[in-house]
Amino acid sequence: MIFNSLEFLLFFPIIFIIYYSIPFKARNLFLLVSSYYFYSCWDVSYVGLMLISTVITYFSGILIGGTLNVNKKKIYLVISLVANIGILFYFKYYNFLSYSFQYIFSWIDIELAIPNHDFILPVGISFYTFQALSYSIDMYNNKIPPENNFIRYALFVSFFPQLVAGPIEKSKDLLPQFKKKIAFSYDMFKSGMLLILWGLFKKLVIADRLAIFVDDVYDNPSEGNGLILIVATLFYSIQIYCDFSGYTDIAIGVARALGFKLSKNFDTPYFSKNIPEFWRRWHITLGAWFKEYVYFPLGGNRGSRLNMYKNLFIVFAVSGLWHGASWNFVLWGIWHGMYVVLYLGTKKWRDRLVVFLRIDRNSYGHKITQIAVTYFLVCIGWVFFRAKTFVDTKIIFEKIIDTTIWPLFSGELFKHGLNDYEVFNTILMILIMIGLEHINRTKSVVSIINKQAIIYRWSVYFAVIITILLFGVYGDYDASRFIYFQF
Amino acid sequence: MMLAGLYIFNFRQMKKIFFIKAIIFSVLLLGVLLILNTAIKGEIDSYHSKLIYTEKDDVDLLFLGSSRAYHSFDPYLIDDKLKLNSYVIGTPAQAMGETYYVLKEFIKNNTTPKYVVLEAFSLRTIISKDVTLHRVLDGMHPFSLTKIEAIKFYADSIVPKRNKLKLYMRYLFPFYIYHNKLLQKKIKKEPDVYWNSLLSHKGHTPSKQQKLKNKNIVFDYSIAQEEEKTYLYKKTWGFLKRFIQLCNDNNIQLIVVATPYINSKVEEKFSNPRDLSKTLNSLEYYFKKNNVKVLDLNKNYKELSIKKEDFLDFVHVNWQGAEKVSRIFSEWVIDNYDIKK
Repeated sequence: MIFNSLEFLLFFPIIFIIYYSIPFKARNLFLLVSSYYFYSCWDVSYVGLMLISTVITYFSGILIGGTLNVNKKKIYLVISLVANIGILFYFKYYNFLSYSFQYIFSWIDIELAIPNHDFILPVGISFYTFQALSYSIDMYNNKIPPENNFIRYALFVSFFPQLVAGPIEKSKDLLPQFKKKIAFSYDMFKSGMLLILWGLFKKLVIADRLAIFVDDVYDNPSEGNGLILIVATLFYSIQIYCDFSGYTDIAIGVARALGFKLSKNFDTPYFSKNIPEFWRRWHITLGAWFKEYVYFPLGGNRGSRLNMYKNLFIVFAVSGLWHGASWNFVLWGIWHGMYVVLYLGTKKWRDRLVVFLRIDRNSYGHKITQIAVTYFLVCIGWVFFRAKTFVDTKIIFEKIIDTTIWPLFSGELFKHGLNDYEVFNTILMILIMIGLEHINRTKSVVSIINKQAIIYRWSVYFAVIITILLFGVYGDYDASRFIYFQF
Repeated sequence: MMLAGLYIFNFRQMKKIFFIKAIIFSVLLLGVLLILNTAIKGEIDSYHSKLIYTEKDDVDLLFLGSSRAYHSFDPYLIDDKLKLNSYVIGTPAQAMGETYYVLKEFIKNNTTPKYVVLEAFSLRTIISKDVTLHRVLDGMHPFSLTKIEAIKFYADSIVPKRNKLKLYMRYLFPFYIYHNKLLQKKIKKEPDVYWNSLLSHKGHTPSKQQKLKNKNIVFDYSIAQEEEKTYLYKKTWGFLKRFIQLCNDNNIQLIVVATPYINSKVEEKFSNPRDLSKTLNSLEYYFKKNNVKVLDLNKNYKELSIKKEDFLDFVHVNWQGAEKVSRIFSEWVIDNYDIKK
């Protein structure tokens, strides 16, 4: 079941009404059953997989918490890690590694006969296994007490608003909320519903419209002109942001309407002034996860600078691999790792240059240049992320380098699935989104709206609803999936 | 008891005012959806079924069926010959099921016609493709019972079942699928011109084009004598029975007419009067039993003196062809029925 589907439009109000109508004691169980139903709508057979991960992590947590013996704790942690990473590896990376080995050995004329799976990647597997892993590691590090209530723990892993694409919640943030008696709050409900509408606007009006153009161009990069590929890449940068942050807004909004607070996952990342800042503002919960559970255990920034760079490289490469079982994603991760290392490594030289050129760091000109350069670098990275193969990536860069501006005046821009109306309308919507999200950084737009008299408030609600209904991409039997579901 | 207490307690938390606001909001939202439904027009092909609701004199003779119905019968010529009031409500590729629902809705909203002509192509059309059903149902009132009955039938027969909800949404609120036209500028023909033309021709669409100008066509008269029989789709058969029952219940005299089209080996997939004749042959007994007379114009090419110039394409006649068909049909009716207005 997808947030932008009719089924969810029916599912959520039913859940909402029942949730607030039943006794507090029964609510967690009800949410758990609802979450499993929500997940089973994709494929019932994968529900068992999530249950296995939950059961193993739950019992290992109990065992870790029940012993003071460090060795035993370690064994229980390893069991949990092996189980979760094993599930993730088997279902997500097995075929990828098998193909990679076969390919590498074929270079030396050795034919490896490794069997491959033919099953579909379980939706959200990377998200719920990471959440389970964080619980076990936190338990091991004595950061949190063990959760003895199985229903509560199972709900922590499977809570439907954030089950399939995050935000990846830490147990210390989400688990305690399931212990509270949450009373209905009209303010929470209002802001939650506004967030849902905002998320749907970003997904249906912007992301899915841009997807038509991006898919058309990226599916056949050899047929595209360099300029068209540049436009497609710029569009893709907006598409993936609106798709993923739109999903997150809906997830946070749904949870908020039910009285829960989920972590922020995006903070206008394209306004970042450098790549490390971009990563503090893009998919924040994943970044925090890798920092705490991979970067710090590797040694973080302790030791030599070289060691820190090595650790950063590893984190970004693994982060790339987390996004998808393909070398393109690994390359994308390494590419960003390289940016970060270059950024940190050249800091001294850049500082000197700024002084030499007498640049005021607080000037708008400097800030805008930093934002533009960062955005440009991020967009280069998106080519690796979006291209289907290495060969396509190569073709795209070759064409971009060899570009001309004529397609801009020949109408070529409007021959890739979107006509002039659609392109200009979508650009207008993007500008509205950028404006509102920029304002939101300093003052919450939701709270501004919620403070207005009902007539103005409802006018805003209906304006957003009508915009989505008129300009959104929907209506097919299969609602378009969110990009991050595949991860 | 305890549980009941908790229920009330929790609902009280949510405050009455919330429920009142929620209800008002939902009603307003429904209003918005209905306005969008009216504002965003669907395919102009669905305008034909809108004719069900237009103000008109009592209809004596109603033509139903596919595009071949509204291309072939010119109500003004027929009215002149038969001295009655006729009307055409056909929709592109209308299948038997859709024809049944059109007649049902027509009877609900108009005086019952004395005669109904079923253009026989509906007997050969597969029930029911999404697109053809839309052309019929989009023109009907948003929540007419006939429309809901048709959607339910279609929803019950579709696979996969999980699409049922979407199917109801698409048919009850057609803007759900047509809203994209706003930005895509896909409404190319002028809707008002088309609608006014339909109204002024009583549902008939006279076509001037001759798309067969440069095609070498050889008329094969021999095939029209085919006496073989063929099968009928199960659902078509079911709807034909219901259709005849509806006619009988309302004292309507049903007439079945197969309008002419070109037998061409080149376009056999679309143009094969042999199959249609076979279908009519296989229904001969059933039609006789139910007092339904059949006029197969594909057996009368020579009498019709129909030529290549009378066709718009392989399966539709143009305005010249329509004149011939209407004349022959009128004469045949005078010969076979005691027409009294």
